[in-house]
Amino acid sequence: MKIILYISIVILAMISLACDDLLDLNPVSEIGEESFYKTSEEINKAVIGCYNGLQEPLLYEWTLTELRSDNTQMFIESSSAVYPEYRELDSYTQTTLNPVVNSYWQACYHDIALTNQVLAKIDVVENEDMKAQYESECRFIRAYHYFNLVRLFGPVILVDESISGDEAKTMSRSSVESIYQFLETELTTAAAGLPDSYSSGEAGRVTSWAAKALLAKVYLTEAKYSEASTLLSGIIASSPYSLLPNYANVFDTGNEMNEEILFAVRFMSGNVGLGSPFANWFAPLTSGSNVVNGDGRGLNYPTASIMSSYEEGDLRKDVCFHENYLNKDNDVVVDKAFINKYMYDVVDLYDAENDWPVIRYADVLLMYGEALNELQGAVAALPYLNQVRERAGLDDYTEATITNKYQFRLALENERRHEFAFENHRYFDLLRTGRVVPVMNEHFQTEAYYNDPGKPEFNVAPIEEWQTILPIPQREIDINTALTQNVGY
Amino acid sequence: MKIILSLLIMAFAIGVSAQVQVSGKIVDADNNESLIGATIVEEGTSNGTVSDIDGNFSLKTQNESGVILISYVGYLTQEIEFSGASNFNVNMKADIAGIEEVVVVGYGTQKKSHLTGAISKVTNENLDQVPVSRVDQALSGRIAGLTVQNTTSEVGVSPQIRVRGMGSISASNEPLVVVDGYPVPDGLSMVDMNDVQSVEVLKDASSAAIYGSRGANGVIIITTKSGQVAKPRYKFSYYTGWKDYIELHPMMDSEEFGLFRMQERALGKGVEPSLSLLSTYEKSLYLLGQELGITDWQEEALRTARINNYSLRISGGVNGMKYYLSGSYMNDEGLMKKSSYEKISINGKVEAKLSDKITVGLNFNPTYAKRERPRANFTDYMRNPTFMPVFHNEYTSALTGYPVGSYAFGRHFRNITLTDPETGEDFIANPWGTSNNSPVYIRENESYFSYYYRALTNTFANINLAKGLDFRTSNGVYVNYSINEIYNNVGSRREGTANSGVYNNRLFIDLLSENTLNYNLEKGNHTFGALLGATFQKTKIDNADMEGSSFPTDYIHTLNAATVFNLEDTGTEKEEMSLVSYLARLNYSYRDKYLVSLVTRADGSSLFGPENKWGWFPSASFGWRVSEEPFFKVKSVDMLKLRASVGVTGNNDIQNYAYQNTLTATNYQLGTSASQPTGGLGQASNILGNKAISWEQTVEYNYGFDLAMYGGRLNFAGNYYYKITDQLLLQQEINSYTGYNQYWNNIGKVRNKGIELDLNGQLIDKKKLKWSVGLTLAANNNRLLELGGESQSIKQGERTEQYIAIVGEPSIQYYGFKMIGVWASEEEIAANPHSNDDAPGGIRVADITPDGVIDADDRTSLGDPFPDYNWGVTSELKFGNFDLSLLFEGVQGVDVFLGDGYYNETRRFNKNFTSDRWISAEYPGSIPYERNGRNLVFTDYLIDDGSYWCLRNVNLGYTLPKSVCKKLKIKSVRIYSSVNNLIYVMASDFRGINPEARSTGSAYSDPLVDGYQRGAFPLERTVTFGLNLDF
Repeated sequence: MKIILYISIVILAMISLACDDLLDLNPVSEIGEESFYKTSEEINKAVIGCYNGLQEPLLYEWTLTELRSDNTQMFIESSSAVYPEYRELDSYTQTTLNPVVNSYWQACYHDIALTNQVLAKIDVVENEDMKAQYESECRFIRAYHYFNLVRLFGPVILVDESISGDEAKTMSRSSVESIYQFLETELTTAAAGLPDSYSSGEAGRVTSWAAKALLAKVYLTEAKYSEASTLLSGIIASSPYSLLPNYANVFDTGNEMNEEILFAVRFMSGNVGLGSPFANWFAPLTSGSNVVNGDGRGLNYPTASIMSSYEEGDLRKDVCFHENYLNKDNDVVVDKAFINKYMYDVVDLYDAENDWPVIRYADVLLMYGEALNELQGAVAALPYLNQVRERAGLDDYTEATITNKYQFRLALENERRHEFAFENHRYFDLLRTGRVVPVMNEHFQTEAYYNDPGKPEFNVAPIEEWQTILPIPQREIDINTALTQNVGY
Repeated sequence: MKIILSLLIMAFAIGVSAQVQVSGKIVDADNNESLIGATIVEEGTSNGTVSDIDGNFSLKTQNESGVILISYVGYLTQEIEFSGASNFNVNMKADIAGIEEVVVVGYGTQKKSHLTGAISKVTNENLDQVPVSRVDQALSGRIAGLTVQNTTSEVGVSPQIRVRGMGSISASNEPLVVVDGYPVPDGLSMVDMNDVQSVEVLKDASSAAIYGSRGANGVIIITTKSGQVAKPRYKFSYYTGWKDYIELHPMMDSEEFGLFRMQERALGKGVEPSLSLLSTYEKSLYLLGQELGITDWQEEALRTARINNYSLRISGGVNGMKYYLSGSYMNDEGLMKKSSYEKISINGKVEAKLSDKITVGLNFNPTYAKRERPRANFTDYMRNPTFMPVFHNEYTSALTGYPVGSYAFGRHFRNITLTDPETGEDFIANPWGTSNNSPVYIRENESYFSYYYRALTNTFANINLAKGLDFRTSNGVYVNYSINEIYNNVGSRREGTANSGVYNNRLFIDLLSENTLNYNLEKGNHTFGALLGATFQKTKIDNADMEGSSFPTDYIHTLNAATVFNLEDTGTEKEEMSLVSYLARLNYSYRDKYLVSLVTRADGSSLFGPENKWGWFPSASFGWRVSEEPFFKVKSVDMLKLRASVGVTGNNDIQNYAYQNTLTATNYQLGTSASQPTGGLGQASNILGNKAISWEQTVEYNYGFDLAMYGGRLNFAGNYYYKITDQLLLQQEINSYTGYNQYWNNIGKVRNKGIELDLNGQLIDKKKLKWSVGLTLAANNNRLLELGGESQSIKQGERTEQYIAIVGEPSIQYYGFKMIGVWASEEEIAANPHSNDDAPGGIRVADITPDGVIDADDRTSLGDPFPDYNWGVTSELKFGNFDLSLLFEGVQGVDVFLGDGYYNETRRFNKNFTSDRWISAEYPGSIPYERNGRNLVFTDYLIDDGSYWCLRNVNLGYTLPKSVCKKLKIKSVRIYSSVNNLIYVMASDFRGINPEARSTGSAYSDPLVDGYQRGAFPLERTVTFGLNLDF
């Protein structure tokens, strides 16, 4: 009997010790999602999180745009690391397994999911104006990513709400038309819901002008010139934006979010996890601290073609790239070119301040010129092209030099190349005008690098139209086997 | 009734019979030493006493004549008849019969003869003389079914331990380690081999089920040495050793490289070799190599390293009090310069018998360890061209302008001017352009130290509540505080980088309370054992990280001197976990013949969502000692036991809070003059949370036998197991357009089945010559049975090489294109299935789906990283005072992905990747030319056979004769010499230097990504000399 008594006492003591509280532990250093998105301030924090998500795709975007245009190339030196994933893109031999393509895709969709998440919870914001603003900011960010995705990958998967892995497997690719339809609706809604400006402490958030400008570019890409021109003329007439007198000042890190910047992806130095890596990435390989502290990686190397294409006296040239640098150790000038636009005196590697401009006022002017040229011809469009040329210290084109709309197109293409060099515009511009294949094939024939038997990119095969569209990352098809691949891959 | 009856008889006896005095002296039959604290009991009474410090006892008996029982732990109990007052000299014989060995099982012990599960035991005979810094390395090859993989030769790094293959495919596969009843989170890393009494490995689910949710990967139980009630004993041991490498990469020196390229070009062009065929780069290497000779950069990384180990143990006991105290110091240098591991550990165990009923005890085990890690990787050394000296000499100084005696760096040789001896013309060359400083400089200007302060404290009280019923409560604290300190001088790695320092620490506190009731009853032919228990565990982890840079000077390395802090990497983090468990076990045996054991455990864990916190883990096992049956009449067989078991165990080892999505700070810059980012929040992880996530469960069947023959001289144990791990804690790959890449899910099934054989034979057992041989053999077969409706899952490693899990095949296989040769020419490419990244000299791959084109569908599985079988052979030979032990070990049929082969700089000079490569259509060779053609990480070109066998350890010892010891007034002295890896044989086509090495960090911490190595340190051969003193 005593035994049973002892056992009972001990068992009771054991059970009473274990209260379920002991097992209910919540995260301490992170916040559980379910307890968040409850107040307007929390929605604001989540919107800031969406802005943060704009940075990552840019880490890869240059490989899919500048590197695949005639602006830059991979440059192989004897001791340089090999980047087969970049070299594939440079020479249009990318496969469905290309890891950079996959990383870019994932980064875009990651941010898209963040915006979907906020939009699902937006109703907790009671103030109607704030609600409209937060909602429109998310719509803009989402549309920005889809616009890039549809141009690079063609028909992509249109996800506009939070989905589970199982739901994802039932989805298929949307047509290009329906994605453009989506972009138009989204950006129109965003432009209506966004404020025209913010206090200086909030500069960097999307304005209604930015939404209109992005929508104009969507229209332009769809060849809806009159819709584009209406929006653009409105921006030119009523927005507070203008060209800065000096091209270099546009990219000055002491002058960020200046009057020329409608929208930029912001980077911040100071080791806060928001630094731009491009100063170090684009500085010449093995340049020591002669160009930037901590050396460069020699990526996104300017082609001979773009370096020789600037007109004499073009003030933009020196801002965009340098053809050499001085080795301070021995006072020798080293003939290695590099992109100078994002150069910054970094203290630590990959921690530069430079914002990445997405929409500049110069773009608004040139887009307007492009639309007017198509609608009304070169004469009407020339003044807008010339505004940009004047600021670059160049002579105006006249009706004598540009006589028709075909000449204007080429002049505009060239002007955009110089104005927006290394801002990831060139490839999209060529894509919009359908000129990727002829321009790149000529480039491969004329650029000395591709004709040097000692280089791995020697003798690049002429490209065809299908290669201008990237493959859907193989990982997605491996998981959702119903997804179709783009033609040619 | 019996109790009352005997009480009556006793009362009667006291009344009527005369007491007599029985006395005597109890000694060890072997060495005549007196035994202190032996128990002397008059049979049939509770009347008893213990022997004193000289082994003497004296007992007033209750009866005039009868029997006294004399028992002592580790000795056979003796019965002595007495009649009237008498005096005996009792010689106690040690209980050495292996069959009656006691084996530690979870929360108790069991006679080995009564075991029904698959448990292997290793006692520490000479394990503490194996010159390795860790217990796990010493266990390698000694237990069938336990694999110990030294994933790196770096000192102080835990090897990867697996019990019966890989069960989980997303959660951890590490077995649970229990030291003296306490499950320790740091595994075997801090256990001092000198303190280890025995190691038990619970392999099957029925044995491990008592550990419930943490038993699925097997359990390793360490029992440390304890004191005996005896005179103090002192044991001192010391060994010292030297280590050297076994093999290095076959690298061409600079001149050799020039000649090699000259011959290649000459063949390609069909001309005579000449200098003019070389590119300026190759020519410069050739000329500099001729001028400067050879600096062997691999040798620059390495040294003959030392290992030293001292240990002193004191044990004994008086008056119901037992103690064991030990201290040891070890200093283990790595083969790589500036790498070392130093450890001081102290172990104190005290146990006191407060009364007949209550025993209390304290274990205290503090440890300090310091580890220095190499800052330059081995590949940083091997990739350097051999012309480059470590320090500038007169020739290179004149060439580069840097002073004689200063460090030479690759970039100093940029744009140097050399003269072509054939043409006499000057030319500008860049023979070695890396902007990284030389590894020797990095090594001297960067430091990385880790410090570990760890203490395990455990107290227990054992209360005997009634006959056969004990209550035990054990309460302990485990604290592990570790600090990492990194400092990099200004420009240590490359010119212009700021100096920087990292400080991070981790405080890991684990509180554990275990309370059990144990009841044992023997009644006639029935033996019962029952256990009931409850345990509570809470774990807290605090991390703090700081990173600073721009120190004004390099003299102060602590972060108070930093002027800039990297805010992104500075901060603190906390997490907490808890586990509540209830457990029960029932053992029953009938006539010691039929054995049954039933175990169940219920676990509640904070790691899972509110509805899924509790899991239930039952098991049952049965044994039949056939040899006890009357019909069994094989004389040579001492014991034959058949066993069968089935059990359920679990695995909860997933990241904390995985059941919910968490948000973390994701900031952004707003405003034009902000000095601080604006706070935002975004997803903390790429893995989508799952509220329903719960335990992974393993159901395992085990069938085995134990056979002892010829008086215990031949022991044979065999096991066959079949286990299914179900509801896998899987990081399921999901489409990235969900915004996530993975999803925590309980889906999928893995099956492991295999056999294990342990054979031990004492072939010769003479007084002067004893020889025993042991053999362990294990084969495991792993299959993925189900993957939540998917047919496969593909994962990526660091170079985006792919690993596939296909249903119906091994859980991990390399995945990619199958190399079938090298493209000889453009014409050959055009005429055969190819894709647009193919080029002459590149890898030609098989068109698996024979559709005439090479595309993603042509990827196929390319081998798996699982061994077909592991084996180990031990041999122990004693001749006179000499003894010799050998341990052979081997792994067969394992594939390894050689990451080094991908990198240009580690491949360029390496003969394994250059001989017989493609030169031209006429000389197509057999391997690809440099970077030509398709990306080779997606092919099986870099996958090699990683099989090996080795003489892992050989130990030759000499014990001083007893007569000499007596003169020296010590108990025993043994001196020995030991060699690790005396013989080491790799597969003939293996192109690396260490087939055991594996990458385990970042991408490779995913259990479905394994079998990759890069930058492996060379294998070591260690020679040691040691001394053991017992006095």
